[in-house]
Amino acid sequence: MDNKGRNIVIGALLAAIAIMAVGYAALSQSLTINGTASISSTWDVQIISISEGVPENGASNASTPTHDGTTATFSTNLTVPGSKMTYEITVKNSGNLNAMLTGLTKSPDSPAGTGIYYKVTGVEQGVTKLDAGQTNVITVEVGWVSTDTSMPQTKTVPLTVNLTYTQY
Amino acid sequence: MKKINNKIWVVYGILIVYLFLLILFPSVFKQGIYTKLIQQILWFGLALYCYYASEKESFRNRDKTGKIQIVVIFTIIYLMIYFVLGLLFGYKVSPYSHSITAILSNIWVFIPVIIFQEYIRAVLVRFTRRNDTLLVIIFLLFSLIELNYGSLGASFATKESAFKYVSSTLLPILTKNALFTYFALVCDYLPSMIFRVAVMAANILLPIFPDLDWFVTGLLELATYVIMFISVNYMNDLSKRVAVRSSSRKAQRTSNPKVTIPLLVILLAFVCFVAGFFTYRPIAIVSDSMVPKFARGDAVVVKKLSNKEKKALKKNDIVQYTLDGRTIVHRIHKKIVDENGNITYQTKGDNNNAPDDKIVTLKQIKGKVTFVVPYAGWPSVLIYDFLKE
Repeated sequence: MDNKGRNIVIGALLAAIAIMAVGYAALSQSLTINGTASISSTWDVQIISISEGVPENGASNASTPTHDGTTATFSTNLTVPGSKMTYEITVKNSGNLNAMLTGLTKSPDSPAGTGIYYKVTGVEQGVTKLDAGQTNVITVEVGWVSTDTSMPQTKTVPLTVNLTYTQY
Repeated sequence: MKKINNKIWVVYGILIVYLFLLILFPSVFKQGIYTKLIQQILWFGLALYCYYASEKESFRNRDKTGKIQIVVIFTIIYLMIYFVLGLLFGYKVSPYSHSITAILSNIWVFIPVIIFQEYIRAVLVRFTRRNDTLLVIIFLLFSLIELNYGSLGASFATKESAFKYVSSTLLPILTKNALFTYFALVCDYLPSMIFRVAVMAANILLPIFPDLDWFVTGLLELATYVIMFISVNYMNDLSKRVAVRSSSRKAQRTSNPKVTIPLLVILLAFVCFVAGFFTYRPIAIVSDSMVPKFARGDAVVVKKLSNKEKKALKKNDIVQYTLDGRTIVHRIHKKIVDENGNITYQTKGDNNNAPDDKIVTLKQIKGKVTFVVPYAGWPSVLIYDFLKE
């Protein structure tokens, strides 16, 4: 293929990209969007560690806490009302751009009627900044309300905390 | 052989010192003042020094335009494939701000550095006088400078994360820098500059990224670099042959992409098959629960099933399903249909005394075993054991 032929191929590919862009605009409402990216070639904000948890009143880990990108997952055994477990999540911005915490979701969000509570402290959505090279430490508390009157029986509580950081 | 310009050694020295500082004080190189001002001045100054140290000696090579065109074509194809893959894997919202000031700021932070780095690389390569040792040093220097030392510790925290990091980040960075050093040798700085600027611009400007896993990310990058190398290398060989008119048929066969690209496609198809991108995928067996049908170290080929096919499964079919994040391959012991017509299955390992505790739902079922390949799963089993130790 000569230079002219290759130029034609480049032109055709650029035209294809333009068509794809138009198609994307038309289809963008129905595309599957799975949250916000935490790692790319230049953006690197991710959880670097989770503590094993500090137990109180007989609480324990049902499984080892895990993390992936900016999602932390816990499963805690709570034995009696008043049991609780406190975890620390460390998030590091290893990229070159400053970030802000723009989303913080807990799943399940509000276990109403179960006597279980979740508390996330140390950061505030829309306020907490994470500048390049810095770290955020987030405290997650999972507990059984001490005034709960339900039958004492070990409760295994799953919790997933999802953090969203974007450039500010 | 021409003597290497002494002034160029200064550039090697500066790059080595820079690399050590980068390794020792990674967080310093993340400060706003560095990313927004100092790095641009540093790389610009070094590029300017290279320009004068090179005594404005220009790059000479045949068919430079043709090679640049090839790289432009593959860059566009790479970006198209990368973003189309999102239709299969889903997308993620870009974390970058898309206000005009943020876009301009991001362009300022990343693009000038790319341009100056590639210019410096090209000048260094030009003055190696094709000395292999110096070429390897340039490749290593630029690869190591590209690594992110701030997150290296977390990447190597476990064997599993280290394996993922090496596959999806380290290997592509090494391959890319080897390729760009080669590009600098045969067609100066423009091809690598075009590729890096295009990929960076797409990252900064587009509102979504494909949500690719570490395996697909690494695979796509490696395949792109290898194909680019084969094509540019072939074109370089062709131009040399036209120039000296001394080609042999053997040499022509060696670098002809008509030979190498089909081999690469076969390799990619095999990798995609192993990764489970097709209807049939292989699974390595890690336990002896299905002896004598198959044992640890064997591989089974599983056919992905539609919802209709899952409902049509019957007793004695062997299925692959997931349970608490684990993959299990067991035989259907009993098909259960409740009063509402919902179908679930009770499973059992042939080598187990009793059926499995938990009932398997249609959602958990991934596929049906179609045939067994004895011993073929051992490499996967050994790697799995090593990573999970």
